[in-house]
Amino acid sequence: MSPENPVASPLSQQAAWDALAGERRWPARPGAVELRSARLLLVPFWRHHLGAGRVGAGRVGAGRGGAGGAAGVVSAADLLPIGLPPLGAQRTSLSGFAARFGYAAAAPDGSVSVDSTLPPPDGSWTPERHPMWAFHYVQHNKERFHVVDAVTGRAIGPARRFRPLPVAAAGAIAFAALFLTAWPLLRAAAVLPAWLLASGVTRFMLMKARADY
Amino acid sequence: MGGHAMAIPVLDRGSSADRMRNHLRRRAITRVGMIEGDLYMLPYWRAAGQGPEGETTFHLLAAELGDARLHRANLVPANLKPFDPTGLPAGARVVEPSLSEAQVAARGAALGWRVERLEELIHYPFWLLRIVDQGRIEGGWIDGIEGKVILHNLKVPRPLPRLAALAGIWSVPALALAIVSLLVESPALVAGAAIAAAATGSILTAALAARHADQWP
Repeated sequence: MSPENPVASPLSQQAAWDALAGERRWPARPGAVELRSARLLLVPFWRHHLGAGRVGAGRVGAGRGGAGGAAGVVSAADLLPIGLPPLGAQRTSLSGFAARFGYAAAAPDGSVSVDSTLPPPDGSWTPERHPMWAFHYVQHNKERFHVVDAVTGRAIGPARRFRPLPVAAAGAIAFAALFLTAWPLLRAAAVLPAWLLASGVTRFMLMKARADY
Repeated sequence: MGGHAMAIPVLDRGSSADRMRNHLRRRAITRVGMIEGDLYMLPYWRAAGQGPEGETTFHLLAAELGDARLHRANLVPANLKPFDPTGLPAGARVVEPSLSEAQVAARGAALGWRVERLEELIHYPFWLLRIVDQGRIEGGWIDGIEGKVILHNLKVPRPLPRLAALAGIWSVPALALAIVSLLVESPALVAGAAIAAAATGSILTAALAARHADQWP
């Protein structure tokens, strides 16, 4: 199965919903989550003609209307209000999402083509579409908007559950690495910079994870 | 089908951000950081017909922006002028209508609004604001006339743990490691103690992060 020759249709609504439920780990009791709407969106992107077609395949340019990018994928519509942060100069990757184009044609009837509202950066960019399920639901009396990749079935960006392990591991690695590097020189005092670094790295990683969450 | 008009935006970026900030403050969301955004001119058809509660006039979006909340908005009355994009603020993004009359009517019908005729296409200003909250960025729509039509999804997550709190957690393994490294000279033992301390610190911070993350939306 290749992006140029897709043989699989986008995921069904139920499969995407189940994927979201598995990612979010909703409580099992009935009625805990109420689905308000589900729409299969064909989300527009701009792909650089030299790009590999994957988000983060290369650096995206200095900015829209700026110096232009080397390669990669940028959003052609800002869907932040429904839980899909736009890709561009400020954000070049989105957790859970790797753009593989060519699947929009396999989208079933009822899918909705989102209009392009963001112009491409300078350079040679071609319009592409990627199918995504956009869910609107209520949990604990709070409205939520989350998006699931209709090709891979992975929750995207804010729909993903926070994973504390990378945050904790980064702090631990920074702590141990700095201490062991500085110990031959500073002995017990090497604990001090390691402690400060671990605290800072943990905080940074938490903030980074929260930005994706 | 009738004419083509536009509503001149009244709120600039700062004013719309202030409206959004006040809106959030009334909902006890006070920790919001920077708010920035872009001005969109969205194409709405003023339609005559029958609404679910007897309405005879309503507005239906003539484009697809991915957000169903925009499909039928209760637009604030605004002074309309003949459509002239040169009269818009610099940087405004004019969204062209992409739906046919039949598609707009069908969308209205799906929402429970029976369209009899489309009277006038109105490009109406909406700000798409990006609201920053300790690294999180969420989006919200606010109308550019009075700032009363507000569509956002910002929750009230617990704040990130303070740096001092994290330093406090890391001080436990750090202190233990300092004591061990004062007592022990063997590099292998010190390395083992460092790894054990790092593992302890990671478990403690993971527990703290997971506890806080439960409160994130």
